[in-house]
Amino acid sequence: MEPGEYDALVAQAQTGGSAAVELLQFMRTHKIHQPELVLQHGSKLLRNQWLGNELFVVMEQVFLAAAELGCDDWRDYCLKELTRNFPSSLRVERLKGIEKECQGEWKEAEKIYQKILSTKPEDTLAHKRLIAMYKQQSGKVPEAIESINKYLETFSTDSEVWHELGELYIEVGHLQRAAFCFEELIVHNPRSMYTILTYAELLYSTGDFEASRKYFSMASYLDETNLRALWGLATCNMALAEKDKAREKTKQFQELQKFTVQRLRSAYNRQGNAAGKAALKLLSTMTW
Amino acid sequence: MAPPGGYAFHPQAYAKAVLHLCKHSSSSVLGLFLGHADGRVMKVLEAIPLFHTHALGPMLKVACMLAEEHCKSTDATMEIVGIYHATASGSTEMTPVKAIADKIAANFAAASVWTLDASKLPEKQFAFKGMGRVKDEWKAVGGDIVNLNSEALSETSRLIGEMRFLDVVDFDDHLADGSKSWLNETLFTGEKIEKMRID
Repeated sequence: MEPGEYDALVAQAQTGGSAAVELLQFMRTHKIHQPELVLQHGSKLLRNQWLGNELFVVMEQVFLAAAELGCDDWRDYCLKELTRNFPSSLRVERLKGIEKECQGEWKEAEKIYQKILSTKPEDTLAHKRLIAMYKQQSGKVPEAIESINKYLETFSTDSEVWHELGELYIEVGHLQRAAFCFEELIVHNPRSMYTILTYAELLYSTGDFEASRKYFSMASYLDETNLRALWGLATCNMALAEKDKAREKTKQFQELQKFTVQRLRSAYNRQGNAAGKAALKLLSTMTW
Repeated sequence: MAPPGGYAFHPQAYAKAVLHLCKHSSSSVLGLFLGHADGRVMKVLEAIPLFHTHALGPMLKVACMLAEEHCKSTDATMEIVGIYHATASGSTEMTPVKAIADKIAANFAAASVWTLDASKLPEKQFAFKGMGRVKDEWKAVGGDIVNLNSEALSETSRLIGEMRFLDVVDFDDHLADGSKSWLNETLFTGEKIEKMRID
């Protein structure tokens, strides 16, 4: 995805018709989550447009958006149409489970997913729905974590689920365990900026500033204009300077901080807005 | 210690926080409230949208330092007076942000935490459950000591209806694209709420 590409599509989609279809396609391929837009454009398309091959995928997409936003009319309409056209499809079965979830009928939903799994044990999406169900019911995070761990015993290379587990551990404050999940993710995809940066943030939060700095440095090396990486590097330098004043005062580390601040400054010099100004002011206090 | 005169919200601070929470209704969301104690009343003047992913140490620290820098340059008496947040499950517990709240309270003794209670939004009521710091413990803030006029509430609800929450920029967005400003200077330009003042 090019920067600005998505925003341009969103703007274009206002004209409706094929531009809107294109936006919905783009959101599906890039897994962009913005159900309001899906519902806004998708519902118009379903009403007025001949969609051909796209019809049922758009319908499924609108169903999911409507289910999430609590727009019951569209949810029920889409599911009815999909069931009529694909009476024996497991994919539609799963959507029925989602409808039960929306209605708060957790037991019914679980039954549907278990049934899918009994005919097709490798159906990872049904597994994931079961996990998501625990996540939705407040106070069931421990159950969610347990069911994810069980899932990972079988599907240990599913990085999305490692990610999910990592985020849950962050939510409950088990940062060491979260860090372990992100280590798995780094092994899986060593060049993912997002993973490297989150891992670096976790290391910092667990007090390992030294290692955190290494990962922030790696991220700044891979993408030299990444703000998160640069700010991370600067805060690590500051935390380490606080801890061991003598060592960090050496030329090498001073250079590193100067270099980081310089990079950030040149990124913000281009921004005229108030946020940019606040950043420049803060940066002027950050070298020593 | 809770302010004896209660809490007063600037309409824009309230609206911005609510819009931010609406934009990412399926994630954990976190933001800051800036303001100051004015006599007996705690005035919440501004909202700073921060994260819609996880809130971890380094970026939280940077965000707070930047917010403080912003306070210094706009109004020297203003500081970070609290946080607002919501979780995907819609629970109104403050547990997920307690560690962060404690940290804020360490710097500002009268800090408060505001958790979204989404069920209040359709009724155009004040949609936060507040917790105030009282003698090292968090105690619920009574709804009767929160001050926000009904005009601000109905304007907020209108902005949600027009999907204006899609325009809110938070610190996460800013880190991904430096040209986006987390101060959201133009979010309310031309809206009725732009001219509204704190009571």
